[in-house]
Formats: sequence, structure tokens, C-alpha cells
Amino acid sequence: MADNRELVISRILTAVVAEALRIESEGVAGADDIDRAMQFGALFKKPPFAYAKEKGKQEIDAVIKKYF
Amino acid sequence: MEVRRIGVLGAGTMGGEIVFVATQAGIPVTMKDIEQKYLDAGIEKVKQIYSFKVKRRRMSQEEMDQKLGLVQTTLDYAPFEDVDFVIEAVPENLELKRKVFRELEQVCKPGAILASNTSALSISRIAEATTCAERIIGMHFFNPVSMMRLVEVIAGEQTGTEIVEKTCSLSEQIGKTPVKCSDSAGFIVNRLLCAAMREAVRCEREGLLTREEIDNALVKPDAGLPTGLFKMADQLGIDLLYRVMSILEEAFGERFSVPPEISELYNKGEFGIKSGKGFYNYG
Repeated sequence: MADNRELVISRILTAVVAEALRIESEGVAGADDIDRAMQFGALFKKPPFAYAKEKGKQEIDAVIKKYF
Repeated sequence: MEVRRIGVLGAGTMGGEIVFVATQAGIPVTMKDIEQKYLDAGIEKVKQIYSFKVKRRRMSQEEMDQKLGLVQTTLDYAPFEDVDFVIEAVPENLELKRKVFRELEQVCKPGAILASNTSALSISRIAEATTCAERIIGMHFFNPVSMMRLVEVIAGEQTGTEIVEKTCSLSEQIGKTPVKCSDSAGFIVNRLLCAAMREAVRCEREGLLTREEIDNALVKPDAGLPTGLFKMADQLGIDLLYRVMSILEEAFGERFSVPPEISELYNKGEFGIKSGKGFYNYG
């Protein structure tokens, strides 16, 4: 159960990272702006690029590869 | 260019709160709607927010009265000749917004900036109904406007750079934090919230956790959301969520396909708190 909890949080927040990376690569908004938007528009304490930095590229890439 | 008067079009939930925020910053506002009862409800909303502050001793009654004195209401466009900046907050219908922006172009002074609070429609598609697309922009506020700092500032295909800058300046003047983004479906926040929502639904569908467990997990410090996603959907309204998700599906395809669980709730009219039932049951 605790494992599922961590897994679910990881999948949901990484889903946001994956989509945030697309927003950035499409030139819709920059990384800092995306994080600022999620902080002040959705009250996320861990906006996507900050979360990705916290987890590290390897882990994020692994989760994206497995689930997205 | 100093914004000496703001015109707010639409006295609904968002309109009333935008009037509050503008007057709070000391800017005179003209609020327009199509029926007196909507204007009355809008003014009530503004008074409600100010009264709450007075009650909490964050402002005096005199200050509140002074701020309310900055509001002019109208059923007619004529007073909009004096406004420098319009914020449109009418219902989310492309044809309606196109019509309204054509009207604004006719009525307002040539330098007035015309902003739309749309969350779901394209600024460019609205602007192309006019001949002044360069001064039309998106200024997307978040609910409740009196509390949420973010404004997404959305340049349409033709929006002038200086219009973007002036809109960001005004946002800051009224105490908001502007973030620029292009005219792309869902802008930033709605698109990312929908991505999160889809994954939450998928995790539940796979039997990893129940929705209650998912929501409980999401508000813990290691996830850091202000509220659970299923709860948020019920608060926002499943009808609204379905609409936004459909727009994202149309724009981005399969990876934003509307989950059957959400379509089902939508088709049954189970829109969340306002319907007494959504992802959760109420009452």
C-alpha cells in the first residue's frame, strides 16, 4: 500500500513533468514560467521542473519511459 | 500609457472578482452586463469580498466605501468610450466573444487594450473577428480571483509586443503575477492539471489506490497539492472539466483523450458539488 502510494504520486507528478516538457519544447512557455504558473495558479508546492530537479533526470526519464 | 479606467464586461463570478481586484488597486472600473439582475449580483459579489475584509479588520468601512465608489455599472456600451483597458468575462462561447469584441472595437477608443479572460478559446480566433487584432490579448485569471495570484497573459498571432508588456504591467499593478504563454489549448495550468487528472484516473482504474487514497496522498508534503484531484474536479465542476478535456483532446489527440470515467459522470449530469454527486457523493 505504501509502495502504491509512492508510485501513484510519482506517476501523477511525472505526468505533469512530461507534459511540461512538451509545453516548453513547443515554445509555449519557458520552464521558469511554467513552474511559476503552477505555483501561483494551481498552488503546487512541487511545480514540474522543481520536482524533476528533486528526483533527478535518471528517475524522471525512467518513469516517463515506463508509463508515458 | 496609464490605465485610468478599466471596463469589465460580464458581471458573473469572474467579473465581480476582477472588479474587486481592480478597485482594490485604486483603479476606477465600469462594469457592464446585459441585465440589471446580473449587475446587481456582480455588485453584491464585490461588496461581499470587501465586507469580509472589513470584518477581518483588514480595511475600514470608509476605505470600503471609497473603493465601492470607484465602480460604475452600465447596461449600455456608451461608458466604455472612456476606458483604457477592457477585461471581457462573458460566457465561454466563441461566437459570443467574437461578437462582443467586434462591439468593443466599435465603441472603445482606438488605443484601448481589449483582453479576454477566456480559459478555453483561442485568442487568435476571437481577434480575427475584428480589425484590431494587434490590441487583443488573453488575460486569464484563476478562481477565486481575489485570492489567486496568477494571470496567464496570452498573445494571439497578431498581438503587439507592447500590448503584452502593458498587460503584464497592469497585472502587477493589480497585485497579480503575470506569466506569458502562447495561444495554445489549455495554456499552461489547465493543460497540466488535465494531464495530472488523467493519470490519477488511470491509477485508480488500474486498481493501485482508490480515489480517496489518491486524493489523501496528493495533499501530503511529498506531493504538495493544495487539494486532491478528484476533489478539485468536483469543486470545479465535471461539466467544465469535460469541456476543457475535450478541447485538449481535439488539439493534442490521443494522449488527452477524455477518460470514460469522466464522460460517464458528464453524461449522467453528475457534475460534482453543484450536482450533489461527482467523483464523490455530497449531502
